[in-house]
Amino acid sequence: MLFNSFNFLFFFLAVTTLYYLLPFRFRWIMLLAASCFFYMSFIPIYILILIVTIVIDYLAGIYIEKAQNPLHKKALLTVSILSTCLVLCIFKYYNFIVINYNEIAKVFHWNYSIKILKIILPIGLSFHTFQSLSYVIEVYRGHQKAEKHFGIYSLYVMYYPQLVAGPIERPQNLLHQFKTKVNFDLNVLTEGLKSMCMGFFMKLVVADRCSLYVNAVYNNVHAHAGITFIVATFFFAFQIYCDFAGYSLIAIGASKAMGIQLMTNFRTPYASHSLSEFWRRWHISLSTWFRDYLYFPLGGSHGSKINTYRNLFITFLVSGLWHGANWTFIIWGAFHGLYLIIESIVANGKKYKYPKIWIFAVVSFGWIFFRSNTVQDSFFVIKSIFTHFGTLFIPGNQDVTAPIYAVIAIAILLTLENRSKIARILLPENKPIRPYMKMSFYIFLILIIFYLGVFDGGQFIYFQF
Amino acid sequence: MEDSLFTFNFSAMSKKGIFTVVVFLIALILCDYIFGGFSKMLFYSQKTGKFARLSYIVKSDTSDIIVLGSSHAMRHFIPEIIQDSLHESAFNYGTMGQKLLFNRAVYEIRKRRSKPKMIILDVDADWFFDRHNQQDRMADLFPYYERVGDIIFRDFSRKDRFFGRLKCLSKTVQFNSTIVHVIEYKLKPQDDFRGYGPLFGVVDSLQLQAKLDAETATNNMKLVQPVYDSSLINLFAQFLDDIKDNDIKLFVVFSPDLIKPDYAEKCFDEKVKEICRNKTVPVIDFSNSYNFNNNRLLFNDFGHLNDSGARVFTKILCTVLR
Repeated sequence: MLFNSFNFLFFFLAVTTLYYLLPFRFRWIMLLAASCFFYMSFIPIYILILIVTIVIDYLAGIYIEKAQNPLHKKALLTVSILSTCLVLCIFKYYNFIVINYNEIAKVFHWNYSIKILKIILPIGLSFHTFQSLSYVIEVYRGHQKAEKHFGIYSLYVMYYPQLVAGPIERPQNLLHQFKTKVNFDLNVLTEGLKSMCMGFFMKLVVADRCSLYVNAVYNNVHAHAGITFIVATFFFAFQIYCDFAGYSLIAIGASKAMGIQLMTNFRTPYASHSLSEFWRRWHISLSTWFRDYLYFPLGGSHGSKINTYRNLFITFLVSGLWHGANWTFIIWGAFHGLYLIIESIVANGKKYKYPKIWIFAVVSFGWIFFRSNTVQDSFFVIKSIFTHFGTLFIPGNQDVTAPIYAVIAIAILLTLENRSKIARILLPENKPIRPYMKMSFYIFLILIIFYLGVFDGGQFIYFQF
Repeated sequence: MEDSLFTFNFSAMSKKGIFTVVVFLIALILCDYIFGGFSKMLFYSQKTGKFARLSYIVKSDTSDIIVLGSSHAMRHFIPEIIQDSLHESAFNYGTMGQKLLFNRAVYEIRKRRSKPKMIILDVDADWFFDRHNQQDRMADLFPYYERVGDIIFRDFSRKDRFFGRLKCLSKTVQFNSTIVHVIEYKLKPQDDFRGYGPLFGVVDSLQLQAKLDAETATNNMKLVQPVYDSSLINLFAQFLDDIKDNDIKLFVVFSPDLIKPDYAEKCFDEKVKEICRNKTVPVIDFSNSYNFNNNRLLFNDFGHLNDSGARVFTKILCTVLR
């Protein structure tokens, strides 16, 4: 059940209404059942994987807390992490490893090839395994008490708004909210709906509009030339941002409507003045996850500069691999890691402010690897940009409307993201924004979605991770 | 005590809050009606272009010979040559990106008004795939929802029909993504060639070579029998039956390809030929024609003939049709 489908709208309405109608003690049961239903609407059997992860980490949490001996604690944590990662490895990385092994075997004429598994990656696997891992690690570190209530813990992993594409929550933020009674508040509900509205705009109007051009180009790279790749990459930069930030906003809004706060995942990342700032604004829940559970344990920025650079590079390499079992993602991660190292060397402890357009260009360059289907494709794209400028591809043969709609959508997005600044300019000083102005804004937003939205139920990009 | 009571409390919603919600909904419906009405006015003011052509097909055309299909049909069949050759009026109904469901709907719309004498059906290798996507593309007909809503959603599942009709309750949604077309064709009116959309480019030799190399490299990976949507195959068979039952002459055509069809396309062609054989519908196959394969000067891009190519093709086709 995709967020951008009518099925979800009805589901959301039913769940939110039931949530407030039910006595508090039954709410978690209803939310858990709804989350199971939500997840099973994709591929029902894969709920078993979730259940296995939940049981392992639930028990690990309890036993880690009980264990007196630090070595026992560590052993339990290791077992929990390894078993959770094993699930991730089998479903996400097994075929990737096997394909690469077979390629190497071919080169060295080893007479043994391994068969790949015919499996579909469970939706949102990387998200809920990471959420599960963060719980066990936090219990181990003593920052979080082990959750004794199996139902509540299951809900922490399975909570439907963030189950398949985050934000990747921390137990300290989410678990206690399931135990806190929330009374119906129209303002809270409205705030949630507003957030969803903005999310739908980003997904349906901007991301899906841009995707029409991007897919036409990147799925057939050999038919296009440099200028087309520049335009397609520009659109992809907005597509991926709006696709994922849109999803996050819908998730945050759907949760907020029930009075449960999820963490902010994006803060206008393309307004960054450096790549490090970009990573403080982009996919915040994942960046902080890697910071807290990989970068810091590796040593972070303590120790020699070489060690810091090494830690940074490893973190981004793993982050790239997290995004997908493909060399394109690994190169993408390595590119960001390398650039951050260079940025850090150049800055030499000072705070540099690069022009936003430069950071946007750097990030967009990275997106070429991220979006290309193969490494060969990505290098073909880069080579074409620098050597074969060519002519601009117009989709549907002379139908110029697709890129024009994409440009309109991006222009509206930038206006909306800067609406507070615009309001400050347009409104006389100290004049408050009136309720009717806010109402008009959301009516405008809904009409824009109706008028420019792409209603083909397009998949969210991050679902594949 | 509170745990035993339902926690939804209407009194918690202040009168002001309820009033605001009601005002918001009324304002939204009103704005949708006004904006949708304005969009409708703009939409029907178009004299040329994609939607003016579609409006003509939906509302007025009574040609004897019609060409159905996707962008290949639109770019490859020149009605004027067909008219001159077969001495019957002709119109090209081919619509970019459209597949089986849309063509069935357009045929039904036309049949409701008057029956054509002949249909040239240009089929594409993706007609038996992705029903969901084909349903989504029916949105091209949403501006005519009030006139032909029953036909638009006829081939949808019950649930999708419900959601589709729900979407069309909004006047604005009915005219979704039409404004740029309106402006585009107002600024730059398009010549009318009875539905034919000529292209004037030529495929770049370097790009052709790169594509041929890429095709050769991936050839082995394509030897997988495609899995078709059986419901779409049934619909296609019903479509042919219906045309035949209405005594309309029907020719199924495979358009010329710049690069010889790959395994998946061949499988599709065979499937269509098998259905047509069972229904005794004549099939004209140009996909392997030596006149067109690898002849980049006759193609605007890898999938579409340019105007010169279309002229050559339509002339050859007419000799076969005669």
